[in-house]
Amino acid sequence: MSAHTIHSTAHDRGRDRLLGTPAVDHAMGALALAAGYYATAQLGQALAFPNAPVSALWLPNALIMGALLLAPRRFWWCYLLAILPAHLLAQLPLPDVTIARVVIQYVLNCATALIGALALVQAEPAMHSFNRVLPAWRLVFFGGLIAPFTTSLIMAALFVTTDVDRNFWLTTVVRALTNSFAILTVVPLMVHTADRLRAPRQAFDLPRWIEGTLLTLCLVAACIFALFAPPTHAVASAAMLCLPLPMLLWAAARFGVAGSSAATLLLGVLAICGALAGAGPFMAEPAAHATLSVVLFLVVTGVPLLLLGAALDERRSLERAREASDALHGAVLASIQDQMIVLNSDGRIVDANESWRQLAARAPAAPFVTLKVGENLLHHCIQAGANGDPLAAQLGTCCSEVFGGRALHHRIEYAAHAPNGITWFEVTIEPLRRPEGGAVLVWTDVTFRKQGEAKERAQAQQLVHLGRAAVLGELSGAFAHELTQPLTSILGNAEAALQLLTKPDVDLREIRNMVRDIVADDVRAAEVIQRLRAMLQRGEISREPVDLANVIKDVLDLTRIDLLTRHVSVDVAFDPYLPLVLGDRIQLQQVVLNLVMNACEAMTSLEVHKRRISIAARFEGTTCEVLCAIRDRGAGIASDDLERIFQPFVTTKTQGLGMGLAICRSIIEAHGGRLWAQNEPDGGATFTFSARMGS
Amino acid sequence: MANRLPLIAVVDDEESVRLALARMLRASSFEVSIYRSGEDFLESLKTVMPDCAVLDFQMPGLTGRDVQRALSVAKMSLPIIIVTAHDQPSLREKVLADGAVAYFTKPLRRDTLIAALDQAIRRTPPSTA
Repeated sequence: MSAHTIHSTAHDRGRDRLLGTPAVDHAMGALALAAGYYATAQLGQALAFPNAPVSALWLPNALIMGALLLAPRRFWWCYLLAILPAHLLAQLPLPDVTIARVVIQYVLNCATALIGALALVQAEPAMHSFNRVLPAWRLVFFGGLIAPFTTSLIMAALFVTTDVDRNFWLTTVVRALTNSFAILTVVPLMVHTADRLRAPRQAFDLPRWIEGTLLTLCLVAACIFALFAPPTHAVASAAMLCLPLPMLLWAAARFGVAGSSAATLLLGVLAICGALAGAGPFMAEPAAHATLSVVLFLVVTGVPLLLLGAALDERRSLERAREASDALHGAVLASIQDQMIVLNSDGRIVDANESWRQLAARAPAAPFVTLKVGENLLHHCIQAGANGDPLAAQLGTCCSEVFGGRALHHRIEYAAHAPNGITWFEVTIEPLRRPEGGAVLVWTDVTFRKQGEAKERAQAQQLVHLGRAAVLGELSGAFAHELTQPLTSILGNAEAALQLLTKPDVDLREIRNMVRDIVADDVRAAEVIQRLRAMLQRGEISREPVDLANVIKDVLDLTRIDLLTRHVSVDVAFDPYLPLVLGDRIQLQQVVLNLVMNACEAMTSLEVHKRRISIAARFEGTTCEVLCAIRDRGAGIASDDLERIFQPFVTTKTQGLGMGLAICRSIIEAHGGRLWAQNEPDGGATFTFSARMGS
Repeated sequence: MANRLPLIAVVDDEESVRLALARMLRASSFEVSIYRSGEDFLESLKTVMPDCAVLDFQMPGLTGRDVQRALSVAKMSLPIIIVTAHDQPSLREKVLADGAVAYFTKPLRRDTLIAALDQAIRRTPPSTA
């Protein structure tokens, strides 16, 4: 689609909305135009000076231009065709006319309207209105200058060649000015009227109607006084022309383009009527000079009034838009539940919403929340910071950084101690994107979010703990064995000692050995219990340097009996200088324990001598991580399951909830590492996790 | 028999348990020979036959149950007592059905063990290989 078509379409849509799409509507419009054309042509002939080749007030061409601007371009031909009979009807009865001349006049009249309408539509494809300065200037230039002067040159040439008139330039200027005056007054009025018809019906504004009527009466009175007075002294006549000026200014100031156009048109009609009646300052010979003087006066008066009206309309429109914007701005601020303030580039509060005013009552702990519009938040924060208020100091620093462009934005969270408990706030500081700078600060109550996060953390911790308890539960038999062995030794030695003590020749050395062994076994039993307690404890997660090799050894100690029972052998390979990792020792133990137990499970169907777990830990220099790989010799994992097994409640085992690996991954990810599984080419699967190197 | 104390073999991979049981039995007037594994114990039977064997069930290599089966295959009527740190009811039934004198879970009370040993020794006269 070409650019021209796009413009045409936008223009047509505007007219379709105005008049309705059915062709019948436009046919009716065309008929109305024809009627208007005929009537205004008759009026024009009536208002022509005797023997003047051109009428002083020729409105038909302006009517055509207005109709074309209001109609879709695809219906223009309909309007132009409709006026042909009206034109013939108006022109043919005139004396000394030829068909050729009438047709050429028709063509030139249409051309005047077409040139102006096309230029205006091309400049602004959307619906026209002349209540802004730029479109008004376009109307003056294209509609009031280019279009009438172009066609008037041809018309004058025609008149001169056909001996209708001899003065080419005078005829050109008079016809152009006549058309210009008509276009500059009638076209804005037509467009304004169409706008009013299209707009929703407004309530009847009585004071405005009274004002309009009063203005019209005053203007008519002033015009009659100034333009119908008998011709006296030239200076006095010229001075009389100033009489209507206040009313014209009044019309432009109070009623904009429509008012100025209507007032100028009324002035023009009365001025021409006065001149025709032989009164007023425009009497001159020959008639063409009289016509020239009156239309020149009208155009010179009309153009500034039109532009003044447009400028005032535009200003009113901008004021309305600003008022609406201010009202919206105020409504938006008032609707925001968060506390919001706007700072200028000095840190002074220039605006605040209602919630801000209530913040002081809710969270009085922070002193700056009591500041009001006009006070300087930045200075207050810097001062409070110097007096030992860390929150105010932080806020002041953040604001300064945003003002200075050193930070794109900032976010601060703090807890305020209010009478009804702790309230958490998040303060966001965003730069105000305007040349003068400034910032917008928003206080959001994030207490619910913080409580939710704390709850989530506690639940995650509980889940990890339950996972640990579950995997330890699987080792209960092994733990029972570990504990029973020293107890058996203790009981055996104690019973033996008791038995020996009943004999007459007590062997004290033997009894001492027994007691020493009892103590040693007791210590051993205590160590087993201690290890179990450490694994089951619910303490806070710590981040400390941990020796992963020791973690693995601890797990292998824990699982020794279970591995023995399952006939699983374990080989380990550690880098000789394995760096410490940063993490929680118990949680890392839990991961290794889980992976070792899973490896055992994966090999239950293997022959006893093939059940082997390989554990390797090595330092990966490129990423500064320690990698720990635990490999079994089982059947491996289906390729589709390699990632899925880390999802909660997904298990390939016949027993268990399927939470073990999900918990392991969440633990490792919380440590800033990764946990993944892969199959080995020669059988079995390897689970590898990474842990960040500790300091 | 009147001049010789009954010989009890204690088989357990855990040294401290092995030693404590031996002390308890010696204090109760038994001769005791100790073995760290089922393999060592079976090997010893080529030279000495105890009056009764106290076998730990859970050992690396041959378990107490494996030793019981080996004795049965070799048609040796050696009374055995199985002890375990991890009680399993199904295991208890099996070892008793296969002729074990008793099945105990650790830790063992002296009276209980002595009573079982007395019963075992009375039932099966000691013999030497």
